Amino acid sequence: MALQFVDSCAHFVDTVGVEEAEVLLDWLQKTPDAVIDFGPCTHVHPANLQVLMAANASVRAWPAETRLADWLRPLFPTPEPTVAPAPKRKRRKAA
Amino acid sequence: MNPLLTQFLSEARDFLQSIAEKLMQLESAPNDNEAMNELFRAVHTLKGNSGLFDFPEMTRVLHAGEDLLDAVREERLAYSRALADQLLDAMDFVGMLCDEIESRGAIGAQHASVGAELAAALREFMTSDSDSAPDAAPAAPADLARAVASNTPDSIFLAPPAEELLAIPEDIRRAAWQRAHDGASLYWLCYTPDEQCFFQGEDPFFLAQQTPGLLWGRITAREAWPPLAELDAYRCLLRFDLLLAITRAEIDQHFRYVPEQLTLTPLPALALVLPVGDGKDSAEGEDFASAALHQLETGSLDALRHATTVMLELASPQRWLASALRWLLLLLDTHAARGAVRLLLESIRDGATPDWRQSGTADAAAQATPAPPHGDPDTPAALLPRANEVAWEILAWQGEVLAQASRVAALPGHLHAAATTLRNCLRALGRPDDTRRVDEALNEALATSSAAPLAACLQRFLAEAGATAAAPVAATAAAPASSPVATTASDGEGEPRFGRRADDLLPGSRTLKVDQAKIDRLMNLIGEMVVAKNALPYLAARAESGSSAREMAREIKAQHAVINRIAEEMHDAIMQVRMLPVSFVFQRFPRLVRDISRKLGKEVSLVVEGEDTEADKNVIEALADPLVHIVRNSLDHGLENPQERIAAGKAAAGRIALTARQEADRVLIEVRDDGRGIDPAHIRRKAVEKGIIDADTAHRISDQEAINLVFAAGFSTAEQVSDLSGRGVGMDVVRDALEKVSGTVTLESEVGVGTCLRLSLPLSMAVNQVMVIESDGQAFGVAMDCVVETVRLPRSSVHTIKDSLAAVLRGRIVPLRPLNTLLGIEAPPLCNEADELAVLIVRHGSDNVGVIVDDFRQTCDVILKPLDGILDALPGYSGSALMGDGSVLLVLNLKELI
Amino acid sequence: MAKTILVVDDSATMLMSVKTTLEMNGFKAETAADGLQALTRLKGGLKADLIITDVNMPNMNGMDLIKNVRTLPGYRFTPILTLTTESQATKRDEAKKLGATGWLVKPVSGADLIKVIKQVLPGA
Repeated sequence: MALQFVDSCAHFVDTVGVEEAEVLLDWLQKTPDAVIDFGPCTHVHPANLQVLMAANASVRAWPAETRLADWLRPLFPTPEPTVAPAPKRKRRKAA
Repeated sequence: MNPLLTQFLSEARDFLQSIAEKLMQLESAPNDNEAMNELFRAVHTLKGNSGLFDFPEMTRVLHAGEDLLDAVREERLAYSRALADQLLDAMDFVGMLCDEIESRGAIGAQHASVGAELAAALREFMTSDSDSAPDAAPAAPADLARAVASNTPDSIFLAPPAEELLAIPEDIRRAAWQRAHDGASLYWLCYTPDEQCFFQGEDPFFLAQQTPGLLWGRITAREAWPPLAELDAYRCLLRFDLLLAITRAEIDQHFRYVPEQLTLTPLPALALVLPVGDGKDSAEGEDFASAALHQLETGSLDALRHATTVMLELASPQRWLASALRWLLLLLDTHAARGAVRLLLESIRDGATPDWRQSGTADAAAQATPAPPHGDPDTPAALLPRANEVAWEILAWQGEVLAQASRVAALPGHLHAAATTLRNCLRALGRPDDTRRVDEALNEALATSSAAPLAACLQRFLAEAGATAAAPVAATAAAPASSPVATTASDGEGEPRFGRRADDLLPGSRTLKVDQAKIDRLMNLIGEMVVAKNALPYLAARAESGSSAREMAREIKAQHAVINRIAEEMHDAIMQVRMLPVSFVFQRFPRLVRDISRKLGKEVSLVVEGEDTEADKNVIEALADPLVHIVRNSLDHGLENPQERIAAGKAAAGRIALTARQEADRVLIEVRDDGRGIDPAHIRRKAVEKGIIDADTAHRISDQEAINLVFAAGFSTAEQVSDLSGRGVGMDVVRDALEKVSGTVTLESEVGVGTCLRLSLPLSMAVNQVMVIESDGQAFGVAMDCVVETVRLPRSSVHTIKDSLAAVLRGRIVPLRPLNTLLGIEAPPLCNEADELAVLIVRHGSDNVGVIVDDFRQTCDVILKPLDGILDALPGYSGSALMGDGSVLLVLNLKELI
Repeated sequence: MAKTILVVDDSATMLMSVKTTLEMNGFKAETAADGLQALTRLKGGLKADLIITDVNMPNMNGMDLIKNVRTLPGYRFTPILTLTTESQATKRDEAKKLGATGWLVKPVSGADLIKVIKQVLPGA
């Protein structure tokens, strides 16, 4: 599953596709203190991005993939670094 | 040939056939939209397929054909006979190219001009006939982006406002400047995806990220976000701003699916020269700038640079001044125009963001396009002379052989064989001296029990020849396109130019199209066979455990019965696979009849029936040539021209009916015309003239017998050999061809009413029942279908009449021929203990002949394999068969021998 | 996981060509000879990450296939590419309106094919 919810944190893993956007939107509506972990994420479909942007979601870990991180950083506020961002680095799956 | 090419050729033939059919169908029903669409699709698909390969001649012609048909389909152009003729011609050309590709692996260069002519002829229809001349392809080339600017200097500063550009980090802007200085074009691209784009499978973020030459990008929202409860996740409200260093063409290419969603602005590099930081307005900046401007005016650029460096070291890096100085240094280092440097200095002096819009400074760097070095892509390998091609091909194959030869028990044998081949090839190539190298390599290979040394030696030869080591295919492909092969496309005026496809050649028959069900059945049988096989180890175990021999025999027999049943069914199943419909042969006739009748000025309607009738592939293939000959005869000699027909009270259009049906184990083909018929009197006269019969006989024989004389060798009814049906062959050739596959032909004709030829062929030929006989200690097979009976005649009942032997059998005299004599074996026939001769009575024409052999053995079913290669020329044998004990049985062709 | 690509074309040669290229590049290629066959396969549970379809086919043409695919659950957002010739510009636009993502122009070279796929199929 490319999108995993653990408590109030949404973990984005590998490629997060367009179908997830609806799920994400539902979850964000139910989770006011939501934070996002992009750590092992390699690509996010923009439908998800706009949902996150509209929710002004906080990001606790940026993608390990630096180029993706550069795109995402300006979009979201970063919460105070209370949680050390140490995402389990999954290897990127080869297509 | 690679599998794709094989597939292409096979499919191309199907398409060509269907194209021809549809073209002719449309001649009689021009408004058949269904047929028109199918026709268009076939040409369209074929063209598309041809593009997969490098066959420009083919693609060009097909493309023209496609455009023409498109015009017809859209009713911009009327369908006409002339148009059909032209298209048929073009398709024949394509078919001819297919043949050439199949046989030579490539298309000769000599066809290019013909292809161009044909394409031009097809296009002619469109230009001459279409009044409105609508553009065939409104090739709106991916409507270029709504570019805000062209390259006029005025438009330069339509660049996005500085506030937008300031979003780009300074280091990226500096990098972009450097890229522009190196010759790249910079663009600012706003990509605003369609709100519904997700429903078109688009991922605009991914597309933006993949943009070539991307230096920087950002995502922004187009409008304020609604509360989450009202948000539609799938209505795209994002916008992407990108800074690119790339050519315009590459941008258009990358965004070709969404050109209308772009706003592209060429970005002068100077627009990026925007200092950032605090303390814009500073005294030290002002002082520095004033001095620096003076240095610039006096041309002391080195001093200016030095001062800038010093100043930069003093300034705090976060400050606006430091940023401005970094830019200044970069401008100086990249030899920016003096005006640009001045403007930057002035802005430092004034503590203002430089306003490049006021500057008339043409930013040469931003416009320059670097010219990538154009290397010659490849040096063509030396083309091999045609004569040596085969030798090199053989050499290359040896590489394959050697590659597979490793770790085979028979390695030394393989090595010797390969070495011999190499030596021979080298001699043939005029390099006898090199055979020494082969010998050395062979010795080494033998010593090390490895094919490698020999293979390496071979590779060296190939490399020296400039041939790629990879493949013999490559060697064939490299055949010089300009080799002086006789031009097949040379035109005889009026002849259908590539008409050979329509009448001489069977369309490529290497591929067998098989109904899925037939394969499934075979598959099931294989499954059963595996199960049956698995019972054998069990039997073996029983034997080991000491079952009685009797019991074992019973069980083995039972198992044999099972396997036997499966084998028989498999045989039947595979025979089914080999069954082809006669349409395979019939399908060419509409075209043949159309072309020939038109040429002869006759009107003919062809009726085809029973084309689904199936027979073995070999039978169907054997049928092709005789049938063509018969139909041509009907067209040429049988059917009268329209005036004659009307005078005789017939319809102007003649009729040829081609029917097929199955009758017991034979397939019957009938070719019936309603032409003038064959006049027995005429045949009698001719036969006497040609010395085929004498006048007495001519009187004596019945009309039917007279008509049958057309099958006699050397008889040709036409007054002069027609260029159509006559290729110096008569009906005797038809008869012989059919007899080769155990077929017969009979003829009926009535003067003024018409002629009917009936062909009868076996359904299948793959399995033959043969009788094994023995002569002079050797076993031979004789096809059972010609054996009437086997008898043992007392030697005393054999009489010598004149020089030949004969015996009376059931009141009839039967001539006897010893097989040994027929085969040129010296030995006399042997008798059994009762002094009887073994005589095989065989049918020979309408008579019976006795063949004296030494002994009869069993009869059995064999799969007859035709003799190959040089042996093929031996007329006395119809083939060989593999026997159960592994021996090879030669099967005699008694018809030829007697 | 290898991406599955459904290729729809009535020409066996074209199918073979595309399929070979795809498989050589690590994709899983499924084929169908016309729109109807493709739709049947998709309805039968075939999961395709991308669909490449010819436009002019018997039984069901590419346009109708695209229309139908977009109504299938799970295929609202799947990228669809049409296989067209250079003269079918209008067809491309028509297909886009019906929900196609883009197009390939026949003859498609292997490199182009893979390039376009990588462009429309994230994670490929």
